[in-house]
Amino acid sequence: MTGFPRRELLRGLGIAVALPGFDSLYANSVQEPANAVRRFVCVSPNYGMNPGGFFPAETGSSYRMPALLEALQPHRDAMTLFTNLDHPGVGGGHGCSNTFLNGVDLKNTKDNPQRLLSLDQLLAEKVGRTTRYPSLLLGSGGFSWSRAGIRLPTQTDPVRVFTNLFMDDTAKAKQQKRQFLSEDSSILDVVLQDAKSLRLRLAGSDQKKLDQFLTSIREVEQKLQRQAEWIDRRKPSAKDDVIRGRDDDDTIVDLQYPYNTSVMYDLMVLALQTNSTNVICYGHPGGNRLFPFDGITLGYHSLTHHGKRPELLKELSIIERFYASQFATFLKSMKETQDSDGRPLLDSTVVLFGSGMGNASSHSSRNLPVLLSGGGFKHGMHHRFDRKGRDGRPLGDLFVSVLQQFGIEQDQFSNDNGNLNHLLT
Amino acid sequence: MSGTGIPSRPMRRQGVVIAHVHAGLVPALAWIALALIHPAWCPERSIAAPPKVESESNGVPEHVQEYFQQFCHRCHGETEQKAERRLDQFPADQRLDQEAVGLLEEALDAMNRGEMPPRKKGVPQPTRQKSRAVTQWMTDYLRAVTNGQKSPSTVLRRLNRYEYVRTMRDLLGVDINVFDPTDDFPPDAKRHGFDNNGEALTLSDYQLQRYVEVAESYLEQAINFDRLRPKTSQWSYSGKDFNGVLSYQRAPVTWRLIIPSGSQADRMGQGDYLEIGHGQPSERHPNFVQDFVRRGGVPADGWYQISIKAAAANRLDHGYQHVEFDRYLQTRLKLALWIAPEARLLEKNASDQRRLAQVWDLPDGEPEVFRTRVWLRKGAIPFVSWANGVSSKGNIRRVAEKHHPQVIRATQTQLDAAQLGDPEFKSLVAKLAQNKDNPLLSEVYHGPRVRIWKMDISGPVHDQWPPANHQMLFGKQMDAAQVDLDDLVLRFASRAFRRPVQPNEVEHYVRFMRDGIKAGQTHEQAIKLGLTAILTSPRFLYLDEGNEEADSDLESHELATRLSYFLWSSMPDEALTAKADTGGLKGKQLLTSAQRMLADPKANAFVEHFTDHWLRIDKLGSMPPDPKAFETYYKDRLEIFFKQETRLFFADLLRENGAILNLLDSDYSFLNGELAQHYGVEGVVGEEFRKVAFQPQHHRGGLLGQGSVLTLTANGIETSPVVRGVWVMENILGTPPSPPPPDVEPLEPDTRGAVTVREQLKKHRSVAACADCHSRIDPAGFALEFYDPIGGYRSHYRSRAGRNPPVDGSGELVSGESFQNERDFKQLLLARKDRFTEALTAKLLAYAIGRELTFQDQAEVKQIAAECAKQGYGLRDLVLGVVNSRIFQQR
Repeated sequence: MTGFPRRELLRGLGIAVALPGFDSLYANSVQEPANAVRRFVCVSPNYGMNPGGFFPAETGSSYRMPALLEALQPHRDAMTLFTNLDHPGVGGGHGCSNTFLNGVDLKNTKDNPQRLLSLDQLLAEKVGRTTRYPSLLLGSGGFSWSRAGIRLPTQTDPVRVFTNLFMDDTAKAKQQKRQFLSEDSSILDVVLQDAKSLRLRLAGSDQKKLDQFLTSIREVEQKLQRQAEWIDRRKPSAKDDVIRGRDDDDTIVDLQYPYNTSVMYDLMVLALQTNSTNVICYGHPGGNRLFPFDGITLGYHSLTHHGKRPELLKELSIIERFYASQFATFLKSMKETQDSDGRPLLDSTVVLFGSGMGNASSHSSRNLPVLLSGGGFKHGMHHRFDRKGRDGRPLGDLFVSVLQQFGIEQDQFSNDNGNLNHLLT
Repeated sequence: MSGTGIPSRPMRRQGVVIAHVHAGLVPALAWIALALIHPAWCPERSIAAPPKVESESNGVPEHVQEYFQQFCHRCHGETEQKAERRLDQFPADQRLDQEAVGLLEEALDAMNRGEMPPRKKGVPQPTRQKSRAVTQWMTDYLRAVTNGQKSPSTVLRRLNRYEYVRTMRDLLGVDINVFDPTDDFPPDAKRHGFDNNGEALTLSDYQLQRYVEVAESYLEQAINFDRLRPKTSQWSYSGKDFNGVLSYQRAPVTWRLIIPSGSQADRMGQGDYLEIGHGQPSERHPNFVQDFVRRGGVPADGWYQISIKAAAANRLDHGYQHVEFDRYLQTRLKLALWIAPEARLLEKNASDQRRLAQVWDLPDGEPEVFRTRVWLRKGAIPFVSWANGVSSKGNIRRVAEKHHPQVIRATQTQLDAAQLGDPEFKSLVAKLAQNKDNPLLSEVYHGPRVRIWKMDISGPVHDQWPPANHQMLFGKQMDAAQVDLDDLVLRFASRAFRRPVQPNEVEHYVRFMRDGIKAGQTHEQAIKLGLTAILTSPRFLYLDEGNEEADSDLESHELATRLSYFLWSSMPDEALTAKADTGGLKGKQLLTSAQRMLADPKANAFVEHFTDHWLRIDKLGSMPPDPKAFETYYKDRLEIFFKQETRLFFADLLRENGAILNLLDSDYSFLNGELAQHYGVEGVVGEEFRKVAFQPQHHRGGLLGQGSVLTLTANGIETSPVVRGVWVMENILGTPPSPPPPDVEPLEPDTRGAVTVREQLKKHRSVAACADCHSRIDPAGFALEFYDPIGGYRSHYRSRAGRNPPVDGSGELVSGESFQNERDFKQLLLARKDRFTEALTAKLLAYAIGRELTFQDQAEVKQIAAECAKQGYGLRDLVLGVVNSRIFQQR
């Protein structure tokens, strides 16, 4: 297929890693059953996927693979597709992309920002405590929200991600880092006194606002402490093939978007395999960049405003097929790479692909593209839910099933209190 | 209420429940609120319609009840709730909540504007007399209900990024143009466009941690203990010292040639210059002096004088026919001076952190020396480019092939292909081989180019030593060990916290420093950490406006702070603080201070930040125009110039106390050559902006004629009357429409069959649920259809299919007034000048105090607006009116 990038990189990743001192890291961690699901990955294209090429016509197990997802054909037994899932509490507009994992419109959370907490961060609270990074947020982001209702920043540079994951600091740098951490935390101690005395002078909503500051101090202190604990633990080592290319291979690793997509996926597999983190979100950005693929003449955003014109839809499909094929390669290596228990990573990882944008052309937040894989769920089907008037099935129902798969006894997500266990387990 | 443009109340939808009315009574108010509907769609509120209630005992006079039954309930009653507004019953109880009152005010405004009941076929019309009686009753009723209530006070405001940076500038004397360590701060939350709303602004652990780090890096710049005054040096380079090439056979990768004196190419005998043959606004290939890079850039922070001797060659007299050269008929060749903060950023394509320092129009022929003074950080390297050059070397090659076929040699690619045996290339290479002995392209090419003779750099210059910023903190003391810590902390904290502090309030900072020194830190380190802590304190990061329960009036330092963040987006200066210290901000004195501050260059922050957020100009760049269809947007740097136009326009009104009605329509604006060309205005040449008079045929004037507004209300690809209509309602009329109801799936645009946007919208409006709101939204947008997605005027659409239907800019307002084009439409806006004045007043106030306005503020908003109108609609009067208001001076 001509529209595809020049670079082919994914290789057997499993061979490149070593895990020094790995066991010691887990010495304190809670014993989990051997088949436990403890990882979560979410991949989300900002403008979603054009519905015409994403949803199968047939339901059940023998559906025909939709055009945009052809690359996923080899994984059909390991994945589930859904039609008519949406977040009932979200209106349309560009902002809906950011609501994929929380189902809440920012506008509606004035008094209660905790409602913005997204699925990944909720999971990170449970499975992110024993890893160096509670979660790894990559790419364009925007859909990951903290418990305080803050949209979390992401990392976009693969080299930096690699460095953070696998490059040990020099002794001097560690020493400096330790110093910075202790300076920062001593600064916060002093500042805390000001915050407390200021609080006494204020009233009402001002006090509430200042409480946010106090909460942030506590959170930073926890973060600093966590960082301090990890400074002296060696990072797992991984060959930098992923970002530099192999010696015996003269392909050049292109670290520019969109070619770095496969690099990011490689890094994600490595991060999970080395237990550097258990939770990863990866976002494909919106914007109007001109994708450097054959056959593309207009910017991405321009193409999503296709007005149903076939020539533009065709161009858009080149980009969306690219996303699907990269994701397919990721699933492949998640199957082929083993975790520390010797199981395929995919078995212990819930993988979610989708977007809070249902149809970019109309900026609709209904009928969201959702693909689920891994995590010990029953797969192989396409499920279509009824649509009553405008309402489909709440996506929160799927999230409840995901939470329960992690052993989190929660029967509600956002305002949705059903689940999809009957279809997935 | 909405007439004042106060976009504050939470959304009400069908069946809004009015709280705390008699038990058992759940009266619902709803109103078809045409233009004035509202934000925040709250799904939780979309509950089923409340039970119908009997209305005898509610104290509403018979004639009002009858009126409502007769003229309102059919569309806004139990069976139908158009625009999601339901009005079955008036509440008797006067303890109305804010929402209910807002709804009633909305209704009243709609009636006052004559928009309700709608003048539609089949809708019964009340007599004027009847309507007047009802509106009179509603006005009195509302006045009674809202009497004596005060709005909730401003919520403790965190400095937003814009304010934080400017505060650092004034507190520490650091330069914020060259160095912005805050670019990875999370974006500040906005409320109705403004990013200084205390309630909306949040703080995350990530942000807090960045505050610590960033404060430290600012202090790094401001503290200069033990440093000697850097020597001033001078570097002098000629054109030959640039990274050009000397001789060539083909056009080099970049046309960057060194023409040595006396060489064959030096036909005019002016040799030793660098010749730049192409360039783009964001230049990917910098032209720099290699020797200066080897030296590591400038040796120390400071001011540097840079002078460049340059000229344009062959702007007009090239004699070539090449489409990209045509633009130079209108505009001069422009030289850009850039700063790369470090050598690494000189690499091709590493454009991110390079800074454009200045652009000059070049003279044709005789070179001229251009000078500028810039603040540079250690290691920075200046470089130049042709700001409006032809886009690539491909252009030069195409010109050469057309006009100088005899000098064309085979390219390496062609040679390679021939080598591999491609027959086509073999014959081409053979043919081109005949040109072997002909002159080189450089000897014959005479297209437009930029020439550089000299670049001199001298510096660093420090007007004083220790540098001003060090002196602000430590005076002339250069030995950290000698600094009086108690005094330092007391002085610094008073400035940082924007109020006088007592030693016991800040002694923990002093202790912190002393403990650090005891624990082995150097004095400088300890001081730096101590000051970092002060800059991380909530007393610095938040605008402390005191205890709202104790007293509603702002204390003098709080007032000074509010004023200075309103007009400067930064902390009070010494003079203002002195006034606050001595109680000199009472009554007229406050206005005197405000006037002084408006005259200060720091007031640019108000012009820039207020217009950016009121008009949503900050959106420019988020939906970048299609680079193919709108090439000039990038080539002519229109985005920057659009912003500049709007700012200059607003700043001029502010300075001259010009009438704000000019914002609705004007016969002038501020343009430079590029903008003038974009607008089709002749006779304006050059980079500099100036006031330019419009003629009717230019179709310009007012905000609605400005590229900024017209571009931000399009999506970069196509225009949408809906988006522009919403923008006009919200920002000009102060009556934002409500978002589409949740049970209506947005229509997916289908542009296969329909040709114009108007036709697409006709489809849209054929859906009844859409029609009501869109008949109010779309008209303004139709009038603006004459402007393409980057604000260029068009009488016809350009369609992909090659059909070019004429633009139809006509429309009809719900009031029944109709218009043919944007000019008529602006007249209709001018007829609503008081509504606009109130809308702008409300926006200014919301920005000034950092909170949303509520219905309790309405009376004063109207009063400020009316006063301003009486004085002749002057913008400065209006701003001063805001400062003078009770709302501004209260918590």
